[in-house]
Formats: sequence, C-alpha cells, structure tokens
Amino acid sequence: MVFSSLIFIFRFLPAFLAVYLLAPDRYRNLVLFMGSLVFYAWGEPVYIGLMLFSAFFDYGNGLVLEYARMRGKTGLAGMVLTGSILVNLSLLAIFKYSGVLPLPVGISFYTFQTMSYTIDVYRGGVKAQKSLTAFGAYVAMFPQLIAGPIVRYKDVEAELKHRNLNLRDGYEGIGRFCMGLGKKVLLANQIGLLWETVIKLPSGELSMLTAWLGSTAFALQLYFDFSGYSDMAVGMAQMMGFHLQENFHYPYWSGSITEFWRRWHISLGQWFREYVYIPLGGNRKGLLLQIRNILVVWMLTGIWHGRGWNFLAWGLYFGVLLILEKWFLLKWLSRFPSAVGHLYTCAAVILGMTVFAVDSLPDGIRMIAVLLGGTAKLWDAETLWLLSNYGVLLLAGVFGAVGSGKRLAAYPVVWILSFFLSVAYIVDSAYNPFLYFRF
Amino acid sequence: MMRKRKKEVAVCALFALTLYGMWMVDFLQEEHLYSEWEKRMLAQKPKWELEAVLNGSYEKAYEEWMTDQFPVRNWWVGVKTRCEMLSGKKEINGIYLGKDGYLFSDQVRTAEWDELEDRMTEQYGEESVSRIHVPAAGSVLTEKLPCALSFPAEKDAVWENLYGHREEYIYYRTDHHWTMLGAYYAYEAWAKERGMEPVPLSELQAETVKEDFLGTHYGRLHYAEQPDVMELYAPKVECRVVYDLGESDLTGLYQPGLLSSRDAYRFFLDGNHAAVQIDTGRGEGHLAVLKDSFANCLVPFLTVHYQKITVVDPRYFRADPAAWLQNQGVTEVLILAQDTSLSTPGVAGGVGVESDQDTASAVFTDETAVEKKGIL
Repeated sequence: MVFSSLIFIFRFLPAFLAVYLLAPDRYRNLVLFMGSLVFYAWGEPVYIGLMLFSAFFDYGNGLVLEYARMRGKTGLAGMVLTGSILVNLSLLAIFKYSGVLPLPVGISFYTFQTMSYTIDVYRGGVKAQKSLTAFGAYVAMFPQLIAGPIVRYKDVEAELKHRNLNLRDGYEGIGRFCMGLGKKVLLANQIGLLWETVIKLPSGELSMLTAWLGSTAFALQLYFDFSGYSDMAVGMAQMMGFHLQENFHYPYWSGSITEFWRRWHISLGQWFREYVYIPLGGNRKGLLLQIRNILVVWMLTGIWHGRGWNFLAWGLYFGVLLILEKWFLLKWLSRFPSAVGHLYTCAAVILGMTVFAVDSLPDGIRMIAVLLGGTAKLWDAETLWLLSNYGVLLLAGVFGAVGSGKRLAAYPVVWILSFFLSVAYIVDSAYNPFLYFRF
Repeated sequence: MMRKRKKEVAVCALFALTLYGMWMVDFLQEEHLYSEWEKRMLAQKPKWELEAVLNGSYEKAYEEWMTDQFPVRNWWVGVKTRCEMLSGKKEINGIYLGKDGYLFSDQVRTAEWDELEDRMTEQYGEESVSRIHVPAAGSVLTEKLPCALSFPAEKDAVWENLYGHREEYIYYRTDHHWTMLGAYYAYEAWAKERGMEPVPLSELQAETVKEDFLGTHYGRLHYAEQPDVMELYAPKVECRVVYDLGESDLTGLYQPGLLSSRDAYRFFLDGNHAAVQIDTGRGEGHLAVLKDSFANCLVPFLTVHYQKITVVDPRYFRADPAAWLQNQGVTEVLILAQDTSLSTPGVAGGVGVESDQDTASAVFTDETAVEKKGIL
C-alpha cells in the first residue's frame, strides 16, 4: 500500500487510527504490529514471511546477545552479532542484488533497522527488548516501513514502552501528514512529468537547457517524493505518540556537498557513520585511511540505493567530492561569497542525481554530456514549451525546496488545501477516459 | 493557550470528519455501473474470497472499485484541472488548452486507411475512389493553439479550404470533431475537386440544435471555458435510412433524441454504425463511404448528389467491407477519416460496451471479436 492512495487515506488510516486510539495503552504495540502486517501484506502477501523472519530472528539475537554480554561470553556475543549481520546482508544480497526475485518492499529499511538493534545490544548501548510485540511494532511500524526514515532502536526505545497520546501531537502530526502528502502528490508527481517528458526525447534532439530543465525537475522530484514520504511517516508516527527524527533539512540550501549530505536522508547518513565509518576508524587513523573509509561508506551508500553500476558510480561521485572538499575545496569556497557555494552544490547535486535517475551508466554519461554542453543547441522550441508548462511549478518547487515556504506550512488552512488538492490529483490519476473513446 | 487548544481540537475533528465522513458517503451511495464520460464500465465491489485475498487479486479489485466509485469523481477531476491551469500548464491529461476556450488533442497517424484506399483503388479504379483526410483541429486553427505549439498539416485542397475559413466556427471547442460547418467546407473542396457543383451554403436549412454541447475534450478535463453550440445545416432532401441492414429500428439522418445525452455528437447518424444505407430517390450513382466519426455530419451533404449512399465504418464492421461492397452495386468510393487507428474500441480496450458496439455486434455476428480486429 502506498500513502498517496485512496485506499490508504480513506480506508486503512481511519480504520487503523480508530482501533489504535480506542485500544488500551498496553495493547497499542500489538495493534501497531498487526496493523503494520495488514498494511504490508495488502496486495503482496508473499514477502510478509521474510519480514517476520527478520523480526523474530533479530529479536532472538538480541536476547542471546544480552545474555552473553551479562555473562561475559564475548566469543558467543561476537558470533551471534556476526551471524545477525551476515543473515541480514544475505537477505539484501539475495533479494535486492541477485536480480532474480522481485524486490520485497522496505527490505533495505527494516534490515538496517534490525542491524542497528543487534549492534547496539552488542555494544551495550541498549537493553534487549523482551516483548516480541514491542519489537515487532518497531520493525514493522508502517509509517516508516516502505521509505524510511531508518529509525534506530535506541531512538524509540522509551516510546515503545510507553507513549503519551495527546491533542498537540495529533494536531502537529496531521499537519505533517497533509503537507507531506502535498509534497508527494502535488509537487513530486507533477514535476516528475517534466523529467519523464525530457528523458523520452532522443538525446540527439536534446538542447542543453531542456536537459537542465529535465535534470532539475528530477532532482526536485526526488527530494519532494522522498521528503514528502518522510514527512508523512513522521506525521503519522506523531499521531501515534512516536517522535521520529527529521530525515531532511532543506538539503538544497547547502553551501557544500558535505553540508548537503548532513541535510539529505539524515537517518541513512547517520547509520553509515555510526555503524561503518566510525568502526572503520573514521578520521582518527590518518589521511589515507580516512580516504579509504569515506570511499567505502560512499560505495555502500551508492549500492544501498539500488542494483546497477550507475548507483555505484553515483555513490563514488559523492565520495570523491567529499574527499576533495575535505582536502581543499571547502577552504577555497570560503573565500568566495556564499552564493558561489550554493551554486556549486546545486550544479554538483543535479549532475549527480542525473546519474541516479537513468536506467544505466551509458545513459547517464550521454545525459551528462548534453548537460555539459556537448550538444549543438543551447535551447529550442521544446525548451520554451516545457518552460511555459512547468515554469510556475518549477519555481514553486525551488522555493519549497530551499525552505522559503516554511512559514506557510504552519497554517492549518494550508494543510487542508494541500490535503484536499492532493485527493483531487489522486482521483484524477485514476480517471481513465477510455483510450479509444474518441471514435 | 485556550485559543491554541481550540485550534487543535478543530483540526483533529476536521481530519477525523473528513476520513470517516468520506467512508460513510462511500458506503451509503449507490454504485455506478457505467461512466458516461469515460465510456467504460466501472469496477464493481469484489467478493471476499480467501484465495483471492492471498494471491492479491482481491486487494487489487478492491482498490479499483474504490477509485472508480469515489464520490463525485468528475468534480474532483475538474478541481485538479483548474489547479493545473492556475499553475500555467497548457497540456493537461493529453489535452492542450488553446486560446478562446479551444481544447486540442493529438492525432496519431497510421497507414491503415491508406491501405484501405489502395485496396479500393484496385477494385474500382483510380477515377472512382476519392479521399478526404480530415485535418486535426490544431493543424487548421493555428492561431488558437497555445504558444510554442504547432501541429503538422497536410496541405491538400480540403485543408486549404478549412484554413481559409479558420475564423469561422468550424471545429468544436470542447470536442475533437469538426462542426457541421467545418464538414461543409471540406465537402465543398472535395466536390469541386471531383468536378461536382457543391450545394451552396445558403440553400441549406440552418438550425441551432443544442446550445450547451460538451464534448470529449471536456470529458477529459471536466472543464470548459464555454460550451459549444451545435448547428445543423440540412440539405432539403428526403431520405430513407436503414441502419445496420435493418437490424436497428432507427430511421432518419439525425437523432434529436440523443441531443440531451452525454454524447450529443451522436445526433448525426446516431454515432458510429457498422453500416448505414441511405436512399434519396433522386440523383444517380451509388457512393460507398468508408469512414470514421468525422463523416457523420458530412454525409448529409452527399445526399444531394447520389441516389444511394452506403456508409461503412470498418472499425465496427465484422466482415471484410471490401468483399461485402462488391455485391452492392457501388459506383464510387469515398474514404473519409482522420487517419487514426482503425482498432475497434471494444476489442482494443476490452471493456467498451457502448451502444455503438452492441449494434455493431448485431451485424455479422458470425465473426468473432478477435477476427474483427484483423479486418484489414
């Protein structure tokens, strides 16, 4: 089920919230767990077993790890942790990277969540969760199940035990949900049409400005899609009494790539930092090792996003930029007005996202060539047509992405409008005048 | 503090009211069977079966049912159209928003009508076969197109004549068809090319038959700046008209009863039929018209010239129209279409149970629907 569907908004959500709010406090984890299973199984019941396995497996691992740690059996603890990580990574390898099986929804998110749990129990950072329903609710929690944020167990440990339901959280949660829905339906999907139009044009007929319009559109689409989903997740979790951390913080308003990655998909960056970069030694073991660590983290970040060489290239591209920034670029940029940094960041991100957007690496290289001026025409009739159709929307997107609309998003009237228009757009997308109706 | 609290209560209550209210409305409203604007059957409530739930087909059917039956769907579509227009979009749901309320759509060219023409030429000789390419509205009304958009045009005599009259009301704003006046100018150019004397416009009986016509383009957007006026220019010729070889009780070239339906263009020749036979009892010759819906409002002008006219819509004709025509004593053939695909709506979409389709299937029922698709 996706959030931006009528079935979710007008069936699942009201039904779930009714049961959840009416249930006594001690049953709410169970309601959340069961509700999330229904959410996950709806329309694609096959993979529910996989998620349940993942949850039960690491629930057990957590208990054993704690036992081993208490008794000082470090050998056993090490073995269990290694086993847990190996199994989780194998699941990812088989289902995500083998390319034989259809991708189970959310697998990249819940495997990372359960790994954060076992690692933290191993380190002694958190206590093992004794309640299977509480742990199940954590792993399967439907607001963040399909598109994050990647919630670390330690961040919700207390709220899994007890959470306050209050009007304030309901109110704010509704606002976040409505605005997130609008980001996804009104901005991401609509701006995405521009990218789809551009990518369908034969690359020989593409003018440079059309290509930039297309790539900018994709960068905005990706942001609004992803952050809209995160907003809806944070909002719905808040309605239930969870306070998840923010996953995006106006990333396009960054003066450098280093800053960009502190503001984009924050929970993923944090995960890699905490569980890969720092354990590898971070920046404390000399420059060479630091460069190696950065490259490892960014290769992993790249392939976490998907199967295909373009994702690896995309990750390494950012890794290299980050190394360059640490080496001299940041110092160098600081000598110029901040606008230079913003422009450089936007251009670098848009180029990078183009590689992310295409289906294969050669397609990406072709597109980059056009973006960098490897084409005869600067602009043409197509550019004008697209600009006249999408100009206002793009502008709205840019202003929204850098946070100029922050103030607006605090007004309930705007929430209502966003929700209401989103429903109209969703209804329209399922309105199919019969293809051959004309005759 | 108190005010803040009131606001919180109001928002939470409104949210709950919207979610549960819509559910209630959905629950209470009567199910719709058919969408007139979309011309398709709407999904109906699926039955709960364990097997269907487990393989996911129940969920899929439920979602389809829910979206198809969503309360006031058309109204929501209109809201979305207006919102997109506010954002300056000129192309919405495949429709281009032109000037003065004109709506345009693309035309996909295919060679299928050309192949039909070749076969007819083989059969009847070049002299006896003629062709009218119906230009898309966008290729004629160039000044009405949104900026930075252009349509390709095939600049033949018909197009020239229409283009010369582009200031007049020759295409509907809210529909993809030409008006009867547009059809007249096409007929005029065609008749002159054939060495015939076209009936002057002044000799036709002009009458406004509908003042609030909303066509297919409107149906995609649920928005129109202004509705269309449907005008009739009727030649004074008495005709005997037989639809579908007498399997239909209809008579006459015009069907005033359909003017109040969603598909008012069916006023002309009752929309699309597999075969319509017209006997004027005057003039001479037997003309076969192989056509799409654009011909429906042009055929009346032809009654001035021919004693018999057989109108065939190959898309609804289940047998080979060329073979069938051979035994009808045809002397001339006119092929009139917008060169779009010949695929039949019912076969291509799988769900079209338009009345057109029913009547079509009443004729030549010995052929299967699948063979129908391969008529050419």
